[in-house]
This record gives sequence, C-alpha cells and structure tokens, in this order.
Amino acid sequence: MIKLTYFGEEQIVYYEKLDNGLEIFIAPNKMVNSYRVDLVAKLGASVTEFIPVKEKEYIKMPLGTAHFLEHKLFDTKDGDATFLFDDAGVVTNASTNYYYTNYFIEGKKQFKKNLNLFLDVFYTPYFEKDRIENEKGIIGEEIDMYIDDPDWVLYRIEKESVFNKALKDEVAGTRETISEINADILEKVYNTFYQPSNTFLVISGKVNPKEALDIIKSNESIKKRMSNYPVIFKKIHEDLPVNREYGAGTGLVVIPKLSYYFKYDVNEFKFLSPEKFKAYLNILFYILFGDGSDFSEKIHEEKIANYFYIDTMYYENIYIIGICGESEYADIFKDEIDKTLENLQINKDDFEREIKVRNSIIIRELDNISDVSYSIIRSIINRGKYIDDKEILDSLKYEEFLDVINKLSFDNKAFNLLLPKEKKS
Amino acid sequence: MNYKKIKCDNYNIHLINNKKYHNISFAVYFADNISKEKLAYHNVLVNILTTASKKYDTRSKIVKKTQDLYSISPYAVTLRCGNLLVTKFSISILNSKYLDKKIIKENILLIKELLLNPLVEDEKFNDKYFDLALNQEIKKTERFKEFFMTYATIKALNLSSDKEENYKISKYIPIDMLKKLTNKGLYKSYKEMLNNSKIDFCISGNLSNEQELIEFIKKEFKFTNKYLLNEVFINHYDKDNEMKIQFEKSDVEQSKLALVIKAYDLTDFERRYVAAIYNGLFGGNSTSFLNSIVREENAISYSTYSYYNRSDNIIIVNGGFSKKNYEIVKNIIYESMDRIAKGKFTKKMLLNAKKSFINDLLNYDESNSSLISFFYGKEIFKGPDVKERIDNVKKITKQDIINISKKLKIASIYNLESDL
Repeated sequence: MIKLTYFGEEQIVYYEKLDNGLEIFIAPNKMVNSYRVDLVAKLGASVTEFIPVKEKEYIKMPLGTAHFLEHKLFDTKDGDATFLFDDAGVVTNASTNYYYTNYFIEGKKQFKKNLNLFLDVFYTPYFEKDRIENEKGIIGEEIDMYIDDPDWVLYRIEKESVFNKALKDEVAGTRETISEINADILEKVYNTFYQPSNTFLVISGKVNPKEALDIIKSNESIKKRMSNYPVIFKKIHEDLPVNREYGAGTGLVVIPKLSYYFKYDVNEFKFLSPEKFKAYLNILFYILFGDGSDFSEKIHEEKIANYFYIDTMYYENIYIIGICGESEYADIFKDEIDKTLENLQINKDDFEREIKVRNSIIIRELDNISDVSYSIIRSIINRGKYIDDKEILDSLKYEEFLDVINKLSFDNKAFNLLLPKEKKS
Repeated sequence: MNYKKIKCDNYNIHLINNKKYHNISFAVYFADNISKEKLAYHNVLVNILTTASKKYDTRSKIVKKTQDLYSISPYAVTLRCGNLLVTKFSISILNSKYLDKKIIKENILLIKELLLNPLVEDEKFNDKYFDLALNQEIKKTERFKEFFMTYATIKALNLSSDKEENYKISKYIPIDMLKKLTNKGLYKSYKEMLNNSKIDFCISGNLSNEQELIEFIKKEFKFTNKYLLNEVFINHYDKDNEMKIQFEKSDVEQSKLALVIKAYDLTDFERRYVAAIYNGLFGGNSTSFLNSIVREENAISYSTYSYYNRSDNIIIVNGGFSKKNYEIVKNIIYESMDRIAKGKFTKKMLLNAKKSFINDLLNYDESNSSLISFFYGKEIFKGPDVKERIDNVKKITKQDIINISKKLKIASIYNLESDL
C-alpha cells in the first residue's frame, strides 16, 4: 500500500489499486470507535447517453436513472439489504448528485462481516420488475417533496441562468422520465458504470488497513465482476459565457431568495493550477463577503438582507462562485456586491487570516470520519486524484493572490431571484 | 476519557479530559424555568451577545478575533427542554498541540467578554443592535411558514390542547409578541439569566493542566445566582380529551401531515427507555412499521416517520404524500399502533429497535461537543451512565411495549393539504 498524507503527517491515507482497477483509500483513526466505508460509482445525473459494455452504439438513459439505480442497489434476492444492515447495527445511506453516486455504511462492530456484506450487495445487483415498479411511487413522492422546497426551486433557476448545456436536468428526473426505467436499462447502466474500475472505496475510522485490504481482495463478489472495460459516455461541453444574466421565478417563499453567481474557467490563467485558481477565488470571496467582512457588516446593519452565504458549483473545467441569501431589497443587495467587486479592498492580514481559518477547518475534519471520507471523495471526483488539501494551502502566496485578483474579471455573472407567488414581476 | 464534576460556589465545572480530538470544546449553560416571553427575549439575547461587546463593538471584530485564535466563531443558542429554558454559549478551540497553550485561556476570556461585558448603557443594550436582533427574530418567524413540515407540526401541537402549556412553546415566537419586546426588558431578562439560572461550565478535550484551568475559570467567572428549577419533564393530564383534526389548504405539491401522540402516566423507566424503543418500532427506524408499510409496501411516501420527545412526553409523526393518500396513511398509522398494542410484532423488530437505540447511545463520545451534550444532559435529566442505560434497554420486554401502548393516545392531527 502506498502511504499518502492528510494534513501532512496528521493522518495517513493508505492507497492501493487492485488489478481489476478498483482504487482503495484507507484512513485509519485509532481514537474513534466507529468505522465508515464509502463505495462510490463514478456515475452521476450529468450522464445521459452512453455505450453499454460489450456494445457499440450509444443509448440514452431516462433522466433520473443514476438516482433510481441508487434506490434499487440494496435490493437482493432475499429482500432489502437495509434490513440486514439494521440487524447488524449498521447505519446505511446513499446519495446521487450530478457527478457520482455514493453509498456508505457506518458501524462499530463486526467490520469484516459488514464490509463483506456491503461489497456483496454493491457488486451483486438484483433488479426485479415488481420492485422497480414499486420504487417509482416512492421516487415520485421524493420528486414532489423537492418541488415544495424553495431552495431547490431557486437552484433550478440558478442552473438555468448559469449553465448553457450542462446540468439542465434534475438528479431524480421527473415522474414521466422515471416511468420509462426498467430492469434492462438498470442492468446496462450498472454493468457499465459499476465495474470495479469505475468505482472506488474509501474507509475511515477504526480499521486495520492490512485487514481491510485482505477482506477486499478476497471478496468473491468483486472477483466475479467484469472490469476494466472502457466507460464511454457523451460529455456535454459547457461554454464559458453564462446562459442569461438574470433569472427569476416564483415559489413557496415568504421573503424573496436570491443568488448572484460568477462563472470561470479554472484554466483561465496558464501560470496557475486549477486547484490554486479555485483556492484563490474562494479566499477572495470569503475575505470580501464572509462573516466578519465590511460587506457583511453593512448588509446586516442596514437590514439589506436577512442572511447570506457563499456557495460554489462546478462542472468539468467550469467553476462558479456566488453569494446566496434572503432579501426584500434584491437590487440594493446586488449593487453592494458589484460595488465591493469594483473596489477590491484586500490586505495581507485578511489573506493570512483566511489561510489560518482553512488550516483550522482541515484539522477539525480529522476528528470526524465522515468528513475525512467526504474530503477524499471530493478530491478524487473534482481533481481526478487524491491531493492533500494542505499541499494546496501551503502553496498559496499573497503576491500571487494579488496578481490573480488583479487579472480577474467579474463580468460573467448571473443574478437570480425567487419571489413569493403573488409578487411575480 | 476522564470525567470530573467540580462544584464551585454558584456553578459546576464539568471537565471531560480526553486525548481523542484535535479541538477543545468550551460551553457555558444557563438553565431556567420556561415561559414564552423568556424564550422570546433569550432568542434576541443570544443574537445580541454574539454580535458585539464593549471591547469588540462589531460582529466583524469578534469574528476576526476568533479567526486569529484559530477558533470557530462563538455560538449561542437557546432552546426549550421540557419545562426548562436552556441557553448555551460555546466556542470550539483548536487543540493546544498546534498552538500556544495560552490560546485556551484567550478563548475562554473571549466568551467571558461577550457574556459579561455586553454593549450596554443605561440598563439597556445598544439600540441599533437591539433593533437588528429583534428584526432578525421577526424575519425568522415570517420565514418559518416555508418549512411546511415544521409549520404543520407546530399547528398540530397547538391543536392538541386548548390550554397554554409549555410543550406548545416553539422557538418561532408570534410576531405580535416579538413586537412587544423592549430593550429595557431584554436587559432585565439578561440579568435574570445571570442571576436566576442554574449555571454549568463544560470543557471537553485534551486538558493538560486541569487544576490550572479550574482555578482560571473560578477566578474569571463569579456569579451570585440563586435558582429553583421545575421538574424538566412535562406531564399530560388530559387523557379524556377528544382527538382533534384540522386541515389547511395550501399551495404545496405534497400534503404534509403532523400527528401528535401524548404519553400519560409513564414510569421513569418507561419515559427514559420503553417509549424510545416503542418509537423505534413504530416509526423511528428503517425497519419500523411506518417505513415498512407506508414507504416500502405501499410506495405512497418517500418519508413518513415518527420521533419521540422525551422531555415533552410526546411522539410526533410526520409524513409527506399525495393528497389522495391521506386516508391510507392515517389508517396505516392507526393500524400500526393497534398492532403494536396487540403485540403483533416480531422479536427481531424489537431487537432492531433496541440495537438502533444502543448504537445512538454509544455515539456519545464521537466528538467533544457530543461528550458535552451527554454530560450536561446527565446533569439536567439526572440520567445514569451509558452502561446502565444499555443494560436497561436490554431488559425491555414485549410486554413492556404492549403496556406502554395503553398509555399513548393520539391528541391531534394537522394536515397541510395540497390545493393543487
């Protein structure tokens, strides 16, 4: 196993890639009583067309298929595996986003038995017609639940404004699109995207790395899976200019919600790595708009907004950063952001304070096994490989930061508004 | 891990010394008897005290100070716990291994500054900050209608009794009441918090010099408080009341149901353990009746579940589903209660409910903040240690579950019904 670091020597991450292509990351922590295992498939809702393994033609998958598969993966011949994990006193859950599908177990005892069970369930799919039909009702209700969530409604408006082609569809699909999903398509999607070579495993917490690796290597379900076939799907190329500078809609809100996003290509500056570009952009926004900024002080003292926070989105080489919040004075709020960006007030103390904050956040993450796992997953998905965040932090320099922000433009932007239903304008 | 409780003149210090984590959590708790007005004032108070002090007269200065100390900004919260109002001020300090040892004391002094040196003149807080904090409370109450399930639950609780009762006091204070709050009243409430509360200091983390820390706290914090706290648990005496049902039309896509079940005349054992296991069996776990029947068998809801509020002696059911399925869901809830009351559940279901509860108990030391919550909870609820709790859960029998079923009664149903 290769030894990697997490915040320097504070946490060792053991890495191994098996012959079947499965990548394994193990971050042992002797101080905690629990272990966590995440299995991640590199399949998200942004994939809509692909070539199934051993076939030659592209096929379309109904919108919401990746999420539907997430719901059905715990089905086994003997019923829902969730009950087996419950019997074992293990917590399980799963989630799907545009980029990947993540499943995890968290437990305290019987690591070997539970890891084997998890691997068996993950790598031995079972798609049964009646249960697939039944799941359509549950997911339909999940979709309706999101429709009632104002933040979700605003997110749809934001995506429509910021993106031209990417992330247009909803992760869960619609009641109509999921009605087309059947066992055949689930199997094709599974066989293509859930090959060990297109999945990875992250283990953190109370675990012996060697023992964990031995269990994984000897698991029969993994051995049986075909792997190392090329995964071919259509990637949507996203253009840099925003789709529209202003987006509005109505929803079940009492007070309007808004967001103001700025869209960038992470390869914009040839002298900077994408990771450093994103880090500098984040630091800039937290200095300008974070808790403790002059902007924050003014917005609160003049009651321009009730609350606000910094948010980011990404797709391939596109990185989007913005400010979201709740305000009855959207125009004033937007003007204040514009004014702040037109007249950048930065000093070295602010920069160094932000670096301190970021270091302290990573150190705190070490205490939480799910934070450690999530950080590793995020790195692999966003960067294509695991990189210690501290390496990036240590490479940041104030002079370079100044150089970047002096060259940075804030023109590629989109402002979004979610108004109460009766106040549509 | 080593726990010590030090009784000082007017407060306790709880030291939870452990070498597990990279941070140290420090919290000060004030517990007083609840009233709606007191909660309203404390909601404003926790905001204003963490916004400015005499030394740091803006929020920005406080944030920058904490960032310089590698800490997370001081956090304050107030919440009702049964018949009590608990207000907590806390800060998370990075482990001294990475920093100068003095940093722990500096962080504690920052909490002291915010708590005991507020921006006050003429027995009232700074007018500007009072106005801002009050305005934020008003917006919070306005906004809460966007949280449809919470809205339905509060409506269901209000519907469950005609009387003014403590369990009906929610953190969302009515706007007409908020508008009556005054700055002088806030200052009075602040002084009462310091003078009439039970006060507890909790510190969890790698504490290299315990005695020095104890002496430091004793030197810096002096109170002259006197208090008489009510029993924390709320009891219900309206078993003969009829169940109330109310529907409200709404633009929601999916109906939101809240159902209140009251527990009557529980023994201490039932309240602490049996009711929680009943809830696990009924709707608290993935293998529970509600999840299995409503979601997995009938596929008419993504999420219908129940949770047990021990200090209020109440179980609440929440569910979201299509309007047309209201009767089906309601009947499943009734039938599930009936099946449990008749003992029609397997040993495995009971065992799973126990395992789940025990697993939650064992998470008590998964972070410094959870350790503090555990030991402060023990102080307030007078609960036993984890081992005894687990032993008690293991003792629960099928008959215990059947017996407690007879002490539960649905008090109200509130359905926020889709009008689409």
